[in-house]
Amino acid sequence: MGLRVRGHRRGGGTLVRRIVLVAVVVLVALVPIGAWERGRRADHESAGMRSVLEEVGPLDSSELRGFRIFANFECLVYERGRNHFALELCVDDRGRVVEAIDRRDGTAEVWSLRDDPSESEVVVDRGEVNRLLRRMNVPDEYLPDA
Amino acid sequence: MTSRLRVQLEGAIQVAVVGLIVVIALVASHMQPWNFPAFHPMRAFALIELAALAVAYLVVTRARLSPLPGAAVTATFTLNALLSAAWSSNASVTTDRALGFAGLVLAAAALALGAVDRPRVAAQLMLALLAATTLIAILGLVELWRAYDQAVLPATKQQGARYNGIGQNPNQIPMLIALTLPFALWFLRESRGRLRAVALAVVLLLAGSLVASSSRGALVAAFAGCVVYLVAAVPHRWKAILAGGTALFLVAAALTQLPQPAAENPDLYPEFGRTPSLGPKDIYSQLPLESEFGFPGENVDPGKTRTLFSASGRLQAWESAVDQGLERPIAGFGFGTEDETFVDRSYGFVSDAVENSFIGVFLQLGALGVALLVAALALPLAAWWRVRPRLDPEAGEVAAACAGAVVAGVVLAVPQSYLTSVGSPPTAAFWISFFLLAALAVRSRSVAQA
Repeated sequence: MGLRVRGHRRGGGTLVRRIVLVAVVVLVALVPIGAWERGRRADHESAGMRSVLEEVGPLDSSELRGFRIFANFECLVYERGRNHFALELCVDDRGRVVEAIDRRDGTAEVWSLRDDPSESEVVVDRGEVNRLLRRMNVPDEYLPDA
Repeated sequence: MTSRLRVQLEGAIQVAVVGLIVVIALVASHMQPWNFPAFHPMRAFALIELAALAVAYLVVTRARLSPLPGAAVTATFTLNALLSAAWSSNASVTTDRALGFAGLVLAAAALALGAVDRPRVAAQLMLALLAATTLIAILGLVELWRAYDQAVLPATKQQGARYNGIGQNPNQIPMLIALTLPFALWFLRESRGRLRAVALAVVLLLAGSLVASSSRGALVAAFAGCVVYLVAAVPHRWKAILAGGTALFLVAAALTQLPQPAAENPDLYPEFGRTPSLGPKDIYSQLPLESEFGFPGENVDPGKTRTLFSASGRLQAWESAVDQGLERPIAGFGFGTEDETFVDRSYGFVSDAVENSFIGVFLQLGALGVALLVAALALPLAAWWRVRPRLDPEAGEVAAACAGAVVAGVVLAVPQSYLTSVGSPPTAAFWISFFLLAALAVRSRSVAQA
């Protein structure tokens, strides 16, 4: 019993080795490229979320219109003029902003790291988010410990 | 001794293939308790068992390890998937799913290597895939009798009632049927006597389940796969096959439009089906997350009806996913993260996945991943097309059926995300057919050299 590897013609082995070598080099090079892409995207999305946070100003604003509750994060929605849903900030259990939406011009511009929350560089006071949600009658069972 | 062991292993492999396909379908189904998380490890068990039997068969038969067309690229794609855990936002999910995919590729490649010099073995595997699909279709009929409400998606104002069978939705099992329908036609052509009546019943059962589901993507994929098989198997009658196939396809498409939309939407699970409002400040019902784009407003009837040609919101979802993929265009977000990364924000679209395997892979593994996948898919088909005239009749017929299944799978990959999801019902059948096609293309080379 045993396995036999079908032989290659002379020179074929060298070609296969070269192809394998190129494939290995490309795959190994992907590791830093993948990590770089991840960081670059996080910077870009964080910058967008930070700009929305700056537009919102203090979280406890008179323009706080409402909230949305999701499995992994909660969102605060702010109005601007007649636009009831103009700005939205979504915050995870640790206070990291994981999504921000700007709807001021009628279309939604979304900045999001909900799939990669650990890369978010924008953080707010989770305790204050909880306090605002409680003020809007969100039961404690829906809120993480601050 | 070796001959007897070989035959026993061939039987065991057939049973293991049936077991794998059926277990995957049950776990993905709406049937309890098979779809409970506690049952999920059965898939890994069935896959490992199949891979072990396939490798044992190679050892027992002293199989020659011929390089299969597309295998090296598929291996590179798989390594890329495993390696992507290094930059994935969810490394454990990526590792788990990449290992599952690697296991499937290994098992399918080992099965194919055992079939290189034995088209009879390829035929046995095709029969096993067909038997599994038939069993699943019969289970669907049992479910229709046992739990009608689960087996049929009720009519809404947008679409008529659709047949689920054992699936969680009407597209799930038809995807598997679309892939294996060329095998059913092959079985019909090859069988004689009473067996032919059985084969005809199988074709009618599968085609009937497909039409009743109104799954348009699966219908188109099945049509493409069956036409490729029949034209390759009977090339001198290609005009009649194309004309007859097109006529049958049009009849099937018309039949899918028979169930009429309902006058009112059904009130499903009133106690579970709604997100409770947490007060006047809870704006979820006014602005649902999954409907950010195109939301007509609370309790507003969109007035759209699902037709043969409507894309069910896919085009907007695809555009959104491509835009998202361009944020990490070279290496992607990590294998197996499509359902976590992609966010459905379109009112007209309902899915956690992009519902396009190529865009889904772009999201997961970037442009390099898509390039590898496309190359991997093209190579066995190209190799088969090149050697097709030189294949002996038995191998030619089997290879044509495999090519039909692969073409059906590739067509299906356009409206469905499934090619790399081992837990999806058609995925294992696709990769087994894919490697069998590669093995049969290699066989013609070895016959020619001999």
